[in-house]
Amino acid sequence: KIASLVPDGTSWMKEMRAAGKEIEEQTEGRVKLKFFPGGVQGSDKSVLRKMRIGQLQGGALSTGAFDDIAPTAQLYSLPFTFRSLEELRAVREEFDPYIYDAMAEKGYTVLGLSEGGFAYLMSNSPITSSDQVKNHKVWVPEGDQVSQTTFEMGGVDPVVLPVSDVYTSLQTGLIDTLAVNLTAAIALQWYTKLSYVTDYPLVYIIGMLVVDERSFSKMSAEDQALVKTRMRQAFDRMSEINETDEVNARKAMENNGVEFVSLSEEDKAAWRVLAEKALTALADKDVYPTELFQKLQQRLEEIRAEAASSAE
Amino acid sequence: MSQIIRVLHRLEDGILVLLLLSMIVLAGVDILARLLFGGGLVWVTPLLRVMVLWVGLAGALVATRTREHIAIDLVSRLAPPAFSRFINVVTLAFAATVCVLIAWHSTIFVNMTREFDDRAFSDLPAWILQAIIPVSFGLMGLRFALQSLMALMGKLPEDVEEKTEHVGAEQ
Amino acid sequence: MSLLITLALLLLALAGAPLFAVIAASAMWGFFQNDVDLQVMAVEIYRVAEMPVLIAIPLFTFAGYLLGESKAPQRLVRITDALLGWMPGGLAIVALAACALFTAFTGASGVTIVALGALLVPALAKAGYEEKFNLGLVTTSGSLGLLFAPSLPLILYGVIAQQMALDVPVGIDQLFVAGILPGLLMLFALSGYSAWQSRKLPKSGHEFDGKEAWAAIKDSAWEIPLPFVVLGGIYGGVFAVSEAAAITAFYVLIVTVLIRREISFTNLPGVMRDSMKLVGAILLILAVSLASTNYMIDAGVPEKIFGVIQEHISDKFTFLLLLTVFLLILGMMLDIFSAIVIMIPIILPIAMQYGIHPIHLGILFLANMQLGYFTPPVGMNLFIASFRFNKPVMTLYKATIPFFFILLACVLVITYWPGLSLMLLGEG
Ligand code: NA
Ligand code: NA
Repeated sequence: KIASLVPDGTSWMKEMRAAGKEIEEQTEGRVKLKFFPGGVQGSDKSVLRKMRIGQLQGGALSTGAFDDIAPTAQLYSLPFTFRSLEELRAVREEFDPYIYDAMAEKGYTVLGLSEGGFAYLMSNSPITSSDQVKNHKVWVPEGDQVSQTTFEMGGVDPVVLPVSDVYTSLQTGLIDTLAVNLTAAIALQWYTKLSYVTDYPLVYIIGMLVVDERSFSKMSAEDQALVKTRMRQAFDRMSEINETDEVNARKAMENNGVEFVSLSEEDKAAWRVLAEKALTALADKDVYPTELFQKLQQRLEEIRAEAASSAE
Repeated sequence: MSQIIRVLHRLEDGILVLLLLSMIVLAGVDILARLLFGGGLVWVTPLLRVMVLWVGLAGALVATRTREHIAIDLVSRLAPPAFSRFINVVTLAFAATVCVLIAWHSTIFVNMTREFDDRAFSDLPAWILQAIIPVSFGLMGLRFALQSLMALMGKLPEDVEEKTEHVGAEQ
Repeated sequence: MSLLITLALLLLALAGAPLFAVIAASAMWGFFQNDVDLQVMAVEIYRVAEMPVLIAIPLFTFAGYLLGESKAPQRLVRITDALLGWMPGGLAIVALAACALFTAFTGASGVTIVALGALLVPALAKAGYEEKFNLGLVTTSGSLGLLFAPSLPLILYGVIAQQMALDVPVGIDQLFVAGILPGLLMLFALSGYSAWQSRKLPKSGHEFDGKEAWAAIKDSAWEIPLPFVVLGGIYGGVFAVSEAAAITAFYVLIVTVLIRREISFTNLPGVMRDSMKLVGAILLILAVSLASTNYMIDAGVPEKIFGVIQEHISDKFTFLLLLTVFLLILGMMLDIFSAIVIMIPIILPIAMQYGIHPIHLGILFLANMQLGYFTPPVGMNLFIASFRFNKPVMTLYKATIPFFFILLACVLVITYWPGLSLMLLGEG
């Protein structure tokens, strides 16, 4: 039994169901996956509680759900780490295992990381510098320490609301700025209220399919391997689908009059300085793996240097 | 004995009133903070939500004192007294059993939260916030059990001392 | 075995066992059968702390109790009389309007009959209306206004629907908008009947009196802003429902205790305790029904029921008719809060299969429940009124019959004309 906040009928859910069906056939019914989409089992935290007591065996969860369990889960979810999807993909092979291991240590088997696209800053007026954000009412999701600290470092007191209240609050003007990935901005209709996107990727959104180690280890080694392989395939497909969805979402938003505001190099540098400050503050709170993150950044510098030299 | 019970009732009332008052004040301060300074206080909303659970369960516990839980009041309205006494014994014992079961399993749950050292907002240990569940259900179970015994002895008061004037609450 | 347990639980419920215990027991039995650890009860109960809208429930309930205990009902009757009393059937319309407004704020928990009935029944008698009409009117009005913001049942319906992962989002503010026209339909239908009833009465001689109107307005100066702030705030989108509740509670507390001093500091804790007992009763039912709903989702119960129903009913028309009959019986037996938390998780997915909009379903569900409040033989408000006015229940059965049929007609209109509920949302 696997729960998720992702609504039924989305391509993500369809992929999952297809994979589940195939796994059931290939294991001759020894492994059956039943999905509970759309948050019917409650919040991510509530799903984790149900996994602990054994009502559920797994969940597709946001990395933030593990903030107090395994900080390593946040490795890819820190502000301005990646400048393009290629950068993320270039490091995944090397760094994914760290996340898998950290989660395994806490008793969770990771079946896959799903790419959810970059979150961008969206607002009701163009934003280029972090100074401009100060005049805005910024939403951050509840319990999202990373976004919260980042905005606080920028001198903004963010408004904390659950996702379900965001659309109404945009309507009422309680908030007028938020960070979101483009496909979600379309699905949740937020783009109808916010017509400017600051075109500089803020943070990469990663989801995680985890299952309880206790129940996973009950399967035979063969079945385990089969589930892992099939799920890996599903996640690869979903990453592809997500990539096209992103492109389409951007087009759809542009067609609906949403403007993508591009930034100058100085502006971008200023944003990164802000992120550095936030990361220093977050390091004290122990919400992300500091050393590993440094290693990741080093690797990214190397990749960028290589790309620059090959371009010359 | 009745002295102790009165003190206990006072204590419950006090907690209930305090919870409600702080909810009103906190919610008010949060809105003011938002209107005046833009951002609200980040811990207020999650705290308010937990207080809803606390005020609800504490309120339910107090309502158990006077048997003001929502129920279908068909049979006791129509049944002859002797039969309705029997019904009271059974239904109250049933409610006691259910509450004790919930209290028992939620104690295990809260202990587990404690062992795993789960954190809620502002790094508060989550088990403290959850502790109201076993406590309130445990006390409700005890109360229902006592009432069932009293009904068995024919001593269950029909009109309970502090019956509220709000008819709606007793349905 | 399962059938036996179900039967036993049903008997216990009918015998007057607390409903929360019955619901909890059914959930625990279900989980036990499916080998789910019963700690799940605690997980589900704790979900009450994960729903931001619920903050509104204790705050609105407390504000309603404070208003009921203060002299606000008197002032409400005075001001509506001064403003509407000159119309044909004016006083009766006053009663209806005042009750609707009061019920919206106090959540139809019987407070309206107790607090306003005492003022309205003698006033109506003095104006020459028959006793039978007066009793019927007041008993009926006890649940009028359920469809207007910020009524608790509307909020609770939204809370439950939001738990259910629908393709169509159900916003509480949308429900508030959707309730306006159906609510007004009921109010106007009853007003029309009252005006027609009063045709035989001597002209009340109650002309519009500017001076009295002004005095009444001044008298209610502290209460008048309340509906504007709350309803204007919510409908106008200035603040969220839980914020409106906080403002209301804060404001009413200051006005009744500090400014008007109609509730003393010594009485205040009692009012707080009583209001929180009701909140406790509601939230406890909600908490355990989250567990029973979770079990039903786990076991796929709505799909199974839908399968059975679909074999026999193919069209929406018949489905709605059966739903109405079912809801009438349900509304008579159950209080509105239990009816929502128990039945909506089952009915909503089925109704959506028949193409019924979830917001429309909410409105027609509550409209039916409103009728159930005074459906003979066991509608709750019949007993409250019988108790309050010291009349035999039989008298009230007879007194409410014309009102019952008028509102039944309204309920049918609301049920079969989704546009009435949805047009203000631009979805009709
Ligand atoms: Na539910
Ligand atoms: Na009822």
